Amino acid sequence: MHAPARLAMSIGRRLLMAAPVVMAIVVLTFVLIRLSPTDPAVLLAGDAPAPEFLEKIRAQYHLDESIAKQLAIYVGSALQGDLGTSIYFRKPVTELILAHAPVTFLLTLTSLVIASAIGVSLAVLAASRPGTGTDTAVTALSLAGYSMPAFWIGQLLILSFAVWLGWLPSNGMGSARETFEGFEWFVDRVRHMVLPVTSLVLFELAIITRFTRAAMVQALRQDYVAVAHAKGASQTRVLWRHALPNALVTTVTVLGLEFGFLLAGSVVTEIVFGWPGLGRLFFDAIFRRDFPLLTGCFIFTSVMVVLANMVTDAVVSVLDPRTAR
Amino acid sequence: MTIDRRLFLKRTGSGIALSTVSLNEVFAQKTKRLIGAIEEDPASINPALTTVISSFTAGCPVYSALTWMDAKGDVHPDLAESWEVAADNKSYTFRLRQNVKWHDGAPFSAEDVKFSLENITRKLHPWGRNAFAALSVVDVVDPRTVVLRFERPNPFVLSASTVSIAAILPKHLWANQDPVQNPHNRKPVGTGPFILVDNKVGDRLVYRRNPNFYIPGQPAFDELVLRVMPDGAARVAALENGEIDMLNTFALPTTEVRRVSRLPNIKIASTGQAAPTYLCTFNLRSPQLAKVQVRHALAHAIDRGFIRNTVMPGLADPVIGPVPSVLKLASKNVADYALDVERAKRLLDEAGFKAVDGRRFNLRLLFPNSDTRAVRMADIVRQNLMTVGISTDIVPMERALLMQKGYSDGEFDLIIDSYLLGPDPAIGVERLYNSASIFTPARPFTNNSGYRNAEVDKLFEQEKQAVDPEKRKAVYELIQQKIWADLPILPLFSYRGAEAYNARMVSGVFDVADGSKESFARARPV
Repeated sequence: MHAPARLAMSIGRRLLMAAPVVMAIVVLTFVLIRLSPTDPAVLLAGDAPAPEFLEKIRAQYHLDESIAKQLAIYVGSALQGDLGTSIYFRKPVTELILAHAPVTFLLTLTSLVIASAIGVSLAVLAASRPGTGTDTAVTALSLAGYSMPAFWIGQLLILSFAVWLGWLPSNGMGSARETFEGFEWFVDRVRHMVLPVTSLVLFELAIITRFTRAAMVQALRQDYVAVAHAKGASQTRVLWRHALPNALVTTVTVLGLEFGFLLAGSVVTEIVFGWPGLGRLFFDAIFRRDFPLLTGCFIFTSVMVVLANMVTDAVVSVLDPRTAR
Repeated sequence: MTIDRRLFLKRTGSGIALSTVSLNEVFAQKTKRLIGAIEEDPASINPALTTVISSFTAGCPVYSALTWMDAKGDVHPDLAESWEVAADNKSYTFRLRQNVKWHDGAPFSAEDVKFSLENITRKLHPWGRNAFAALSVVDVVDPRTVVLRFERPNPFVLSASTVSIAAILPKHLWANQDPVQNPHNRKPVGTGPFILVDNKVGDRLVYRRNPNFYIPGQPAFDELVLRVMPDGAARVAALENGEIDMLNTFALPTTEVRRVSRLPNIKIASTGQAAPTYLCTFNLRSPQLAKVQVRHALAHAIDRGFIRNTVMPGLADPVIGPVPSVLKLASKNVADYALDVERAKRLLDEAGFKAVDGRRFNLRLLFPNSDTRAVRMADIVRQNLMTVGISTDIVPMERALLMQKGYSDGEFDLIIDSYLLGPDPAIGVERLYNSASIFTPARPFTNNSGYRNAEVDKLFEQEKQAVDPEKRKAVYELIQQKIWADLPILPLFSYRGAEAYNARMVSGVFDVADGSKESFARARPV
């Protein structure tokens, strides 16, 4: 079979496998969240709510029906692409998710790209000098990055660069003080991204460096590296052309996993930096018992994770044709 | 476009690194813009239907009411220009301002007042249902005059006619519709100083100056921006950094008040008319707490002075009696239950709960887990009760769960939570003690202790009949003495709300009874 056909087959198989996973997620989320003995209507009304108010909200969102019937109604409309209306925002769930997802992607993809570039370079540097001071320094640094909680790094960055030095804004995606256009708008946006991206990069960097370094050390022990050296290839060429592409299989797999993690895991960063993304939408939906929004977020992220894994597999099969068989 | 090198450096930050002036303040604005923060995206931008704080913060710049109350508790005209109170306190005549327009251009009239008070406030607003329960009808005398007629004397109408309870909605957009589902809950059309023009979920709410606002020269700002900032530490950092200009009571973490007040440009305003108070509610259905001696014992055992000084040092005031002293009707003749461990033990013995191996019984203490003050109080209370032989199960609960399990299902012995007891005890206090406020199923923030005292109920009725303020005070004195003797709820402390603002950017903010209900009409750029 030709490579493209193989890839298409593999994608088709994965899509088929993903369907029951997503379905199971829908049912589980739907049932579990409703088992919690709380009522979103009460949260909307505030102190001593009027019974009429509560009844209206409950009727509007079918909260007065049995769980089975609610699930049937939900799945029925979800299959038609309608994820329902957020109880809290009274807006279509799809609209809310689509508005917030790009904002999160901007943050997560930027930090993944930066973290990969720096992480892979550091890993190559460390792996080429195993056991030296450089290696120890890189390993220690990545361990530190991995161990520091995101909210703490975030607060520290805000204190240092926003409060003490006053160089960078601490919060949000853009200035509220002025309305910028064109290039100034871009600069403003970048300035607002520096701190949240840094805080995510510090964390991602650690994982990417550690995994890539280990894979590089492994790769450098292989026979083909000895052969390359014997042929007279330079150290740089051996590192970057022979060993790295093999080690990158691990890196790409890690990146695929990290992408899914970042979608949910950027919650803390989004809260600390007031970043109006999906993580916060998700987080708030839990506390507001916004069932439709919460289920919608779950479905969206699980689909994204499935997609990310498919992309990862595709990239890996290009990097290492053996895996595509 | 060309980019000025100096400007570019400035805006990228490098040019200003050594300056003491924050970069954000350098961006001196052409449009006069006032920037604040809100802790969450508001579910509805409408103070007329719910008492959720974010709805007030986002809705109060948009809507107006008949009156407004300042930080000292004095009532001023708002949509009403003047008023007359009938001698029997049963009817109130309001003369409305002329030439008031809704944000959509429609004229405001007496019909809007009639519609809002009769159909929204007294039916659906959680506090309004109580405060306007006796409203029989609103008579429209002419487009500029309304008469509120009550079944019985209602001495607190003026303080209840503020935007926190009785915001006026436009009849032409709300009549013959289900108010809960009305899209204008999120796209507000009011008469207030600011018009909501943009609402980016998770990011910001943007308001523009209402050019037709009925008070000439107000508001002085062209734009108001409320940034959605869920993290308390981040809000304070943004204030320090000059990214935002102000934080209201609920947005400013109390643990930061002292530090923030020492910052060079930051001023602290203090308001207390809403009388925010932490209460420890006793569940009178519990076999132990049903006995008054046990409740007295708890009051003697819990070290409220220590709680005040540890939880909110410098901001907390003692509460002796059911009405906090900031309110004008508070009694000065009730005595405190002094800290007295031996006496507490004696009372518990008398109640029949003798200690066996130093232990008497166990209580479940519920509190909202997101409220760091309540978390600390719960810990202190647990230690205090241990000294008298009562063990405590500490049950921190997420707000949603507390509403359901604690308040509605009544599965608790003690709840520590915060309440607003103002602006008048008839609105904030009575709901906790009148047996008419015991509902089935129970509703949060009503009489959740299950306290029934026929005498107290009767006095609450008498109090409303009292035309003469002195007479009313006398009746309220009796009410407070009786409740304090029965002690179904132990107030832990009340506190003054603190708001912070950057005095280099704005003046004239937060002179209101409650900082979260600021309309920013009187705020001025510096």
